[in-house]
Amino acid sequence: MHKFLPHTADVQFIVSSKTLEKLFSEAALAMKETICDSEVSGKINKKIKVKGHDLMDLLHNFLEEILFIMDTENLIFSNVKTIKFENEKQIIAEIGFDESKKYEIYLEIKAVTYSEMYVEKKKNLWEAKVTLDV
Amino acid sequence: MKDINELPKEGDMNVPAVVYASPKLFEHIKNDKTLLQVKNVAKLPGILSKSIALPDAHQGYGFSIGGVAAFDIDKGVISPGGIGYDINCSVRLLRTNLKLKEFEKKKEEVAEKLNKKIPSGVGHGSPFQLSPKKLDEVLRDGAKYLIREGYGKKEDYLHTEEEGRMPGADPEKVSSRAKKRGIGQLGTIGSGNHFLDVLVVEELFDKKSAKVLGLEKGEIVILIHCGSRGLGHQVASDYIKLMEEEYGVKNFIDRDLVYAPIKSKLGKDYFSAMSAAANFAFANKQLLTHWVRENLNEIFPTVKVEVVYDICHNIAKFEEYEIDGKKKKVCVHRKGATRSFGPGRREIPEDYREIGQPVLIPGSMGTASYVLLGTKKSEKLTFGSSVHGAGRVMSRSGAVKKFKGEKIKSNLLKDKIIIKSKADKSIAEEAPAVYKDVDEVVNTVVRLGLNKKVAKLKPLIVIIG
Repeated sequence: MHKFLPHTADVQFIVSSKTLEKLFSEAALAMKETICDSEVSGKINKKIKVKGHDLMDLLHNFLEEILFIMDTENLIFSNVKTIKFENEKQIIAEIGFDESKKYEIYLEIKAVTYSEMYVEKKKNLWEAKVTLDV
Repeated sequence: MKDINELPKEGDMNVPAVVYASPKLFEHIKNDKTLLQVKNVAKLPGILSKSIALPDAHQGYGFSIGGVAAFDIDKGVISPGGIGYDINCSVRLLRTNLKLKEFEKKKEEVAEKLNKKIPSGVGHGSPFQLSPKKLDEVLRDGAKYLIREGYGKKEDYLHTEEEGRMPGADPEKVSSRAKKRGIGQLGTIGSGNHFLDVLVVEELFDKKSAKVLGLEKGEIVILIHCGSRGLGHQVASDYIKLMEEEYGVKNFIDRDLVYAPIKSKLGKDYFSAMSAAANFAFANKQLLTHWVRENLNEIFPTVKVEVVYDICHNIAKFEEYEIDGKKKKVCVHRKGATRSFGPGRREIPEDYREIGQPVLIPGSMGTASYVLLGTKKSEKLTFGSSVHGAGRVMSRSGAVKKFKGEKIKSNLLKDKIIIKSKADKSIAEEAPAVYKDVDEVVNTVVRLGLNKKVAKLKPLIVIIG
C-alpha cells in the first residue's frame, strides 16, 4: 500500500507492507506511478545487485538503480519479479521493465533523495517514506 | 521596511537569517519549512553575514529553493543541497528579428515544428550522438566546445554567464554513472517545470537598456529553461553520498545539509564536478539554440536569432564582495536564485557592463516573464542575487487533484497561447495557480532595489515535457 503526500515542489510517498520484500516492491511501484499512470508490462528483465549500510540506504540505492536503468536505457519500471535480501546489506533482484516510448510519461525523476527518509517497523508493518526530486 | 523579514541570531545560528518578501509573499513562505531551513543554513560553518531567502522562496532539501548563502573560503563549507540536484538549472533568452504580426500567421506551424523537433518530455533521449570522449569535452568546455564544433557563434557564449564554460571543471571528477545518464541527453529539455517558450516583447520599461540588449516592443523572443539533465542530478547524488560517508550523517543539523569544507579534497572535487555538470547544461542550451535557429529558419528564411543572455540559478560561485569595508572572495551558493550584478562588474559581458547584468525571470505557464537588470544594491544586500521565477505554492499531487490539463489548455488558448506538451498531466502539475504571482515577486525585488525592470514578455507558445 502506498500513499502520496503533499510536497510543494517534489514528490513524497509513504509505503507500508507486511514484508520487507513487498515494501521495496511497493516503493518501486510508487516511484513509477509518480511519472506514469499506465499499467506497464514487464517484457524486459534486468538483474540488479545493490548494496547499502542499512535498510534506508538499501532502499535509496535500490530505487536509484531502477531510476538509473530507466534513465540510461529509456525504459519504464513494471514490477519486481524476484527480490532477495542478503543480511540487510545487499539485495539481488530481477526487475521487469518495458520500453518507455510505448507509454505516456509525464514527469522525470531527477533523484531519489535522503530527505525525511526512513524504513521502520511499526507494530506488524514495515513502513518507509521516500522523497523524490522531480 | 515591509519587504525585509529578519530572523535574529539565536541558538546555534552563526548569523541572522533574512527573508526578503512582501507581506503577501511572506504569508506563502510561512506555510512550509522555508523559515526553518533558512535558519538551519545560518548554523553552517563559515557562513558570512546572513542566511538569505528571496521572495520566491519555498521548501527544498536542507536549503530552501530561492535561497542564497555565502561562505568564507578558508573556514566555510560547500554543500550540494545549496546548489540543488539540477546543477545549473538555468534560463536562456533568445531574441529574433521577427515581429508579432508576421509571426502570428505561422504561429501554429512554429508550435508544431518546435514541439516535434526539440526533444522534450521523458523516455526518448536525444538524437544527438555523443562519444565518451566528446562528452568529456562538453564537460570541460561547455557551450564553447559546441560552438567550436559549429553549433553556434562566439556572440552566443559572450552573452552567457561564465561565457558558457565554468573554468576548473574536471570530467575526471564526474562518475561514470553520471556520464552514462548524461551521454544520451544532450539537447533535451526534460520535463517538470522545464520549457521552451516563444514570447513577444509586450512592454518596455527602460528603452535605453532595452536597446543595449537588442529588445524592441513587438519583437519575438524565446526562453529556454532546463538544466544539466541526468548527469547533473547524478553528480549531486554522488557527492551527497560521498560527503555523508566522509563526515558521517549524525554530524549534520539536517541530513540534507551535508557539506564538506571548501578547502578539503572532497569540497574541491565536488566543485570541479559541479562545474563540469554546469558546463553540460550550458552546452545543452547551446545545442537547443542551434536547433531553434535551424527550425525557425525553415519557416522564416531570413530569421536571425541572437542570445540576449543566459543565467544560472542553481550554482556555487567564487565571487568578490565588500564585507565590513574589506574586499573578500567568498563562495556563494545560489539555489533557485539568480546572479544579479550591477553595472561595472567585469564578470558581465563588455557590451552590457554599463547597464548591468540581465536577469531573466520566467513566469509560470501563461503568465508574463520579465527581463530585469541587476544592481549595485543587490551586491550589498543579497551577495549579488535575485529571484529565479515565481516559486511554487502547491504540490504536484494537489495540482493534479485540482486542475485538468485539458481545461488549462483551453483557458490558455483563450489568451491565444498555444501549449504543447507530451502529457496532459504535466500541464496540470504546472498550472499557473500553483505558482506565486510573478508580478508580485518582480515588484518586490524592484522595491528592494535588487533589480530594475527592462521588459515584460507575453507568452505565445509554451512547450513543456
